[in-house]
Amino acid sequence: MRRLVGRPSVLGLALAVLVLLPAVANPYLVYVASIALLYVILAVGLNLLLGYAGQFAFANAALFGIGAYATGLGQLKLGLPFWIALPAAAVFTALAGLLVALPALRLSGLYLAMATMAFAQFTQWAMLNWESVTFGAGGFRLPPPSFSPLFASSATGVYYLTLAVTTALVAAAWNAVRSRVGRALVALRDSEVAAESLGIGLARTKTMAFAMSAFYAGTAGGLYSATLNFVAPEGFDLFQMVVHFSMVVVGGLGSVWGAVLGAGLLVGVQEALRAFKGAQEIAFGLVLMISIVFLPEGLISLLRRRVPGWDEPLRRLGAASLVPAEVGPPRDGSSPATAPGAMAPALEVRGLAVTFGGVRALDGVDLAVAAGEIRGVIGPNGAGKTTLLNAICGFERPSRGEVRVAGKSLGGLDPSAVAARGLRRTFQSTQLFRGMTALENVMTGRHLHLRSGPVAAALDRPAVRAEEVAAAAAARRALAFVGMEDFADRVATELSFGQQRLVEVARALVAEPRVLLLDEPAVGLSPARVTQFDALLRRIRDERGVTIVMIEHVIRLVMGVSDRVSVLDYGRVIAEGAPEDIRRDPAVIEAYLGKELDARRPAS
Amino acid sequence: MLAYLIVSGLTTGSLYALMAIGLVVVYKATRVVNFAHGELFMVGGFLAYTLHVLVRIPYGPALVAAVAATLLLGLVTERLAYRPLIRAPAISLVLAAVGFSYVLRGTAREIWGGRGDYIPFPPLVGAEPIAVGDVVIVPQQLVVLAGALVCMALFGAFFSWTRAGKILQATAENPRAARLVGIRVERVYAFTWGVGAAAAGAAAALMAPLTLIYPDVGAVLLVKAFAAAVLGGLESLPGAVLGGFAIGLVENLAGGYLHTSLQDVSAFVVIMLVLVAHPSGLLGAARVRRI
Repeated sequence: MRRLVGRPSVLGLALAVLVLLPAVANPYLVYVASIALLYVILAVGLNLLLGYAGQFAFANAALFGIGAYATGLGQLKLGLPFWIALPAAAVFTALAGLLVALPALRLSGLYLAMATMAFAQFTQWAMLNWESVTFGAGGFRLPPPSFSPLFASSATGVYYLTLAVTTALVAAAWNAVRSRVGRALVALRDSEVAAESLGIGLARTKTMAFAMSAFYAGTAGGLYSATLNFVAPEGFDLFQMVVHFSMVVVGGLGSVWGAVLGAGLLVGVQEALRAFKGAQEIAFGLVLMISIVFLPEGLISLLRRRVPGWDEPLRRLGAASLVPAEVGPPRDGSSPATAPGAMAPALEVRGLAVTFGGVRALDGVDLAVAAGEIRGVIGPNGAGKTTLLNAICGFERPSRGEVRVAGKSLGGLDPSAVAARGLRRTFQSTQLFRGMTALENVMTGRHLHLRSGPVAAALDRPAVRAEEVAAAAAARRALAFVGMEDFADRVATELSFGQQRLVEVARALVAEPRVLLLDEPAVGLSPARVTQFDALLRRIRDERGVTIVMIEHVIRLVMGVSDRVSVLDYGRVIAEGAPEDIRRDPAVIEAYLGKELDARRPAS
Repeated sequence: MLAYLIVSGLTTGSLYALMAIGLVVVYKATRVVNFAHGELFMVGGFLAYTLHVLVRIPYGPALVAAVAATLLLGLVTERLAYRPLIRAPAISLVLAAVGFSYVLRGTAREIWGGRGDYIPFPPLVGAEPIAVGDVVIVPQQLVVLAGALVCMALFGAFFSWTRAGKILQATAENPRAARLVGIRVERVYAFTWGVGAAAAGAAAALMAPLTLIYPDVGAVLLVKAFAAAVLGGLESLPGAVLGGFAIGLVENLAGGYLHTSLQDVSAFVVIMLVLVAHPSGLLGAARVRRI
């Protein structure tokens, strides 16, 4: 009985009403419904870019216009039938979206906002002034598309076409955000560096987000031209972005269904306000302010609270029943850690140098870590430890020197390509994706193991589904490995600091890395946690066969667990050896450990 | 021709610069761009008009009153569209301010006139153009330019030499540290919004005799001021001034020499080129990625 009010019934009811609408409503209402539906497409597309991928761009209204113009001009100038002009225009707009993505590869935040505003202004200028193509400020009329065998009236035909396309595109977006693609978008939004460290290419993902969103805008624009049978520059100017953004934010940022609600509501509100004339703007402004202040997570938060099972972001796989029975760790301690030094080092750093301005942060660092080794890296503050880690992982460009993984040079790869070579890292200030659950965070770590692209994901192909189930199972195993299986469905921000650390380790481990680099993993952990961490590191090496490089200040952990320790000072390795030798090394004592060890050493 | 375009470019440039200063002041302190800034200008202009033209108060006191009124409106904006949303995503803050700007615009339309009504504001000084060599200058332009320069100087002096200015800067630099040394950060934020809005009011009162004030003037002006602020690097007051003048000049030169339709777009071409070469504006600090 409880399941009677679930998402399927809510959506089914809405769809039934929309299908029956033309039979019962007057033409004006059908027209408004058409407009509302195509704005749904627009808002869902914009939410993919703004809410999921976190890209603050003002190009949507211009792209909407490009879709409308391309559909109209394709018919008028090229003589294409409507059925071809519409999809062609959507693809054309997606290509224009790639153009908008170009500045996004270099700019972010308000600078990106500015660059996309510029794109909007150029587009508007072209619509107004490139008269030989666009017919200038007056715009142009279009013949209503014919649906003759099916529907007598073109308006009814356009309505049903819009309803069908909207349903398909909303479903596609909903499928996409619950897949690898959705996780990549959210990863980009929540932490670019963490996304890169997991092998998610920034350029590629941003470009994809812009193209997807532009495809939606272009489709909406084409349907808009068919609904109005008229195309003109107004309606596509920069200031329309207020309406577009409002739909997404009032409905719910980062929620497909929120965008659906927001678009429907705002088109309705605008129509209703037409009666108010002068007070229209005041009323719209008040609606906007009130909804943002009192429903900060959007209208969708009401549905989430009221409708049982309306569980959103990427939690479809949260149900334990979907996870196949435990199949044991992938490599059960088959000791890949054979005699260290027998084969090519797992990680080798030669003469690595990094300079910031005139400062030499790294001044020719050499390091060879054998497969299966746990290597501690210590050094006073400012010795260059984190810089070393960043340079290894591709986050800093070395001025000279090279990094080899299992004998192969990384030669200046960017971080996501380095990740593809089997390196994973954690961060000093933990970088979980805030909007994801622990499970989703760890599943994002499997990014490079999954194949599905945006199209396959949008179609929810069986292969995609199988891949997702496997990824969720792997993620659960990794969470269990670090002892966090009970927290799988907690959102990252609800976890304690220590728990976040463990999830981050699981997220790195789930990719079955060759080398795991940890940047001060014990910082801020309680002594009990440090002891647990000690055991965890040994298990990672022994059971998973992962080589570990660990930067650490907690001497107890480093000295206890490391096979060898390297000491960095002023960007150079000043000593390297077994922990007990390092403790006695005069150079190390002088540079760094001196006083503390002196104090503890028994008077001899 | 060239000299004329440069003078009028500098005049519009000073308007953009003053507006951009207001945006930058608020952004530096609170990391938010006030998207109602254009409407604060609009309201300031209408108030100056009402007081000076309708009520016949002398220009000086009318200007002061317009500045004071926009300062108050800035405080209201902070209260309604910033403080309740301090932890909200940037886009929510932007839209809340936009919502407030719609309320202001609708109210102005109700009070001062409908769409497309332009109001005349008599020039402050003789309307006769002066010929300097073969350049013809409208005296009002010189007044505006001088007034804008004085305002910018006042802002500069305020930030470098007064205690309040230093408190503002300290809070912008590091809110947590500012709180620790006993600065009431919330008050500073409110004050910043007020000061930023006052800049818009000053710009409006100065420009009113030269341009036309109408309810929709704000949105267009906001885009230009935002462009100037971004061009300058978003956090730098000299950058905002530089950006404002650069955009004013580029617009007038492109409109005069190339084609009038290019006037509005030309500035964006320049901005794109600058951002591609220097992703954080002319005087903005390069962003450092912290890992």
